[in-house]
Amino acid sequence: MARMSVSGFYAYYGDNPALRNISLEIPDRQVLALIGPSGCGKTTFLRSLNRMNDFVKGFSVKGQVALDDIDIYSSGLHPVVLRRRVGMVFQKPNPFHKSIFENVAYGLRIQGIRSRSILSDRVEQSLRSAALWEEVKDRLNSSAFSLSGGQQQRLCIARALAVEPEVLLLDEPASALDPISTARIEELIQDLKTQYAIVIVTHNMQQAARVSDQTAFFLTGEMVEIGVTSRIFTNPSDERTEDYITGRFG
Amino acid sequence: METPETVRRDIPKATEQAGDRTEVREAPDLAGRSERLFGWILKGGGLSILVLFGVVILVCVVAAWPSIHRFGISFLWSSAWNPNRKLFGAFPYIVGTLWVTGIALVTSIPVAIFSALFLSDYAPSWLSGIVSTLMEMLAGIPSIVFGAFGITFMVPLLRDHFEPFLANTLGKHWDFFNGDPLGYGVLAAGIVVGFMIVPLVATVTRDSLLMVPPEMVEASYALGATKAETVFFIKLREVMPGIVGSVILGFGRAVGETMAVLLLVGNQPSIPQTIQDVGYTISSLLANTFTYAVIDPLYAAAEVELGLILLVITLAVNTLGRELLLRLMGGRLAGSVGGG
Ligand SMILES: Nc1ncnc2c1ncn2[C@@H]1O[C@H](COP(=O)(O)OP(=O)(O)OP(=O)(O)O)[C@@H](O)[C@H]1O
Ligand SMILES: [Mg+2]
Repeated sequence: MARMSVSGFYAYYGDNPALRNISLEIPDRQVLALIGPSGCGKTTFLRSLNRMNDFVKGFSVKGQVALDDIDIYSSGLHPVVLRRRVGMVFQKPNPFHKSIFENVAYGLRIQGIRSRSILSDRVEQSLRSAALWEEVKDRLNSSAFSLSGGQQQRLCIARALAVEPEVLLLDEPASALDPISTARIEELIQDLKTQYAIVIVTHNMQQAARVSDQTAFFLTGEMVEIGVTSRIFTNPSDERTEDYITGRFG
Repeated sequence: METPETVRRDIPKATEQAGDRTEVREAPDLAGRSERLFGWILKGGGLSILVLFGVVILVCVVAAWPSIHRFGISFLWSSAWNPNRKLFGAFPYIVGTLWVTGIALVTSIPVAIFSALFLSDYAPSWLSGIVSTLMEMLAGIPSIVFGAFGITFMVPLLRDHFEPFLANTLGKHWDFFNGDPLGYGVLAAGIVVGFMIVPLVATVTRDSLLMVPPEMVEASYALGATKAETVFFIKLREVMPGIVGSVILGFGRAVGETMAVLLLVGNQPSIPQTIQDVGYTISSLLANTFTYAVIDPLYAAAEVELGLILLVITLAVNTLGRELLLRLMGGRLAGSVGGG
């Protein structure tokens, strides 16, 4: 069953098309990996799924992106509501200048949740899911900026999980992390996919192979191919995909 | 597996840091004479500020000594002020100064913050440009002009409309608002001084708002926050240090403001009981009477001591503000050290 489906999608920065004619489905309770060389439009695509590009001046789209068969661009679904259902973790960790606790609680507070006990339950649960709880449980009130980069990234994941989205978009969540934190995040993704539809951008082929069920290969704004990860990595149908995953370019 | 991006990001950072550290130690050897000369010039600049500060304090303490010696600490809470009988007390002036400054800050800070938010996040850029320019011009208007504006506009407005209104509404419940509507007084002076602080606080706040990292703003939107939530809970929190800093500057400006206050505060050495009352501030007293005071050493000494008190108040607020700033920036400093 597809959680989100994209068809005939184009995205433009001004007059420059950054994405051309993308069609794919994001299956529920699976991980879809987006791979492709730098500048091919992976981030643009991800940010089109929760309308984060709305803030970019001159950005425009054509085609359809549907969440549960509702078109997110033309149905009148409010972007604020959309973003609660389609959460995102950015390429660089971007915590708020608040305490660890308040970083995670923020998304709940803006939904009007005031109860201290509900908040602390959800914060704990999210931090556990993001494999950060053990490291921070004794200093929930210290600043998020006292954490290491890898911990900050897991905090950002916890923050996204706290609002219980249906789809989780991860833009190279491990690009700034050491191998141990990376392994943690990969495990975490395996846990999370039992509940969420996950889209992950990665430059790391092994990571894509390890964590994803499906892989889509992007090249200069177009999707070259999409398929079950094991097939993409062993028997890609397009020569350019093969060149990329074997490291012959990109 | 490291991605090319990680490598690119991390290596220059590491060498940069190492570079910074060695540079501090080896700069004189590497850079030679011109660098050393520059260092001395900088040290001289820093030192001269210290010396200037010391000299000002010393001269003031010496000049104020007769009064300090004669009245001791009771100068602070004595309300006597009779130059003919050689009686001097600072209390009414300290209280008057705090009244005017307090009213100025309470009225100006919200206005300044809201106009900064409007300029940075809500106004279309053409309007923001015009208003910003006007605001910077406002900051350049001489205070005597503000004083004249106060007399011709604010005083009648307060006397005929706002002060009676306050007395009839809030004044029914709190005596604090239930004074005689005179127009002149701490309210008029405070509001006009507030006008003078608004551009200061608003400009700094707007500039800091414009510098909030976009990633942080995006993080808020990505969690399903509305624009208002993002602006109030994330951006405002982010610029708090800037606001506190500019409020400290504004406080200094308000405490020391002389001409506009002198024209508006009423210049009565009484202790204001209600917001409509007249009063006297330290700086307006000094401006009004210092030329007479110099003929009598004790009178002059008492006035200089008032000046010292003003200095101490400013220093105290600066120190408190700095503490607050450090506390607000705590995470930020930790972040720059421990961030990955
Ligand atoms: N805000 C923007 N304004 C204009 N052009 C942009 C903007 N963001 C991205 N682009 C352009 O769109 C194209 C796709 O960029 P995008 O960031 O989506 O690439 P990416 O695949 O995520 O790359 P990377 O792997 O380096 O993160 C690039 O050519 C880029 O220059
Ligand atoms: Mg990207």
